[in-house]
Amino acid sequence: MSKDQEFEEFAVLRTPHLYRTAWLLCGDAHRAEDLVQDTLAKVYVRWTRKLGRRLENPAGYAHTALVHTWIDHQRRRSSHERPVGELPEQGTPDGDPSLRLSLAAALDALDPMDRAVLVLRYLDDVSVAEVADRLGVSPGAVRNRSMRALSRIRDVLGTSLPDLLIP
Amino acid sequence: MTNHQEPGVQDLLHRATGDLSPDVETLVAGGIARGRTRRQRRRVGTAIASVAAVGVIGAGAVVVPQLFGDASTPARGARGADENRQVASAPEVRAQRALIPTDQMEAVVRRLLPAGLAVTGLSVRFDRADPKSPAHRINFTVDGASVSIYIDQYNPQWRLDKGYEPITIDSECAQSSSCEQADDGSYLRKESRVPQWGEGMGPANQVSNDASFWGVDGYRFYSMALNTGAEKGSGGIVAVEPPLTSEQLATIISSDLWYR
Repeated sequence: MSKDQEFEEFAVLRTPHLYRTAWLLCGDAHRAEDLVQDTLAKVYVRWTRKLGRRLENPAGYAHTALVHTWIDHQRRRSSHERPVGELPEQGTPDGDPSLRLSLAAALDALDPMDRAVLVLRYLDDVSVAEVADRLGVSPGAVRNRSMRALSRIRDVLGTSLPDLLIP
Repeated sequence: MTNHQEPGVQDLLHRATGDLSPDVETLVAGGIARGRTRRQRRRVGTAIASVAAVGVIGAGAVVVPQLFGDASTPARGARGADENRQVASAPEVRAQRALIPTDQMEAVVRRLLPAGLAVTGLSVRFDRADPKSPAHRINFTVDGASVSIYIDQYNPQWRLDKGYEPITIDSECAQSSSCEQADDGSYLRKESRVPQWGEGMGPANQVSNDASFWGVDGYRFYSMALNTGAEKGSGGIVAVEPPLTSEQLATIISSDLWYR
């Protein structure tokens, strides 16, 4: 199997999870799709590199690349987003749009790093130590950011949090 | 598995996203296409750097196309505002000067602004949101309209190694017919536009004057003046035009006063 075929196989399996993470980071379908494609592009370049070792943990590498790419986008977004001729169509909502809307609004209130910590820990189920390693911060900072993010989420959602937590 | 203090939140995130159904085939195809473009750009950039390193710049025009054939991305010329221009990488960093301390930036901004403006809320923040690429963020209002300046570093190899978005001039200038290279190798882009934040986040009739500067000291500056009180969301239209023109912003961000 060629490297391209190997990558495609990996990407097809991993993209749904990457997209869920991207959606929670971006809060909308179009930006999430863009983020996933940028991430896959980076992993593709690394995967098909002729020199150097093979990726030991491609899934972890992909998720780290996704979060870093998103943080980088966040830093630069306000300064160079490009105008478009027409507004893109809204993505077709799946499942429970009101739940996602409430959650997206709450996540938007978070500092980007706090949001990344929250998503990595609670969606991707990554340990504190690994989140710290992926984001280049200390485990203590991850715990602090995690607590701050949860507190902020509670503040923003207010009394609706218990409702949202009930399936 | 982790031992979360908030299992309900974990469940909430899973429920909110569990039924999302992306078009996997399209996303993977798009990712591979972008990856191939990215890989090709890196190869072209490496080839150009190698050619430049041995001082055979004249040969580059011959060698690079032969390396990649007709279908490859050409290494287009960098100078001028020709819309066909493409630049393979950021300016070469030469004799990098250090930025002035953060606590001196407010004074520099005030000194560089045109006289007589009603400036309020001027703040300078050293933002570590991205721990491996900290940046300065400067925000203020002029007659109630938002102005921001953002400063960080561009293009070190580790950005690629760490999975960061590589910062190249062509990713910015390719979208603008107003990006030009100065004699010292730096690049300057000036334009006016209608910002598009998406999802109805920006007020109607919002306009922006922008200027970006990639200096040979390795720093990139973005600046943006809006006719609204804030970049997005609240703030509302406060004037027909932003308080500073792209030319004025360009003068500010390309000043030598930013360096020690």
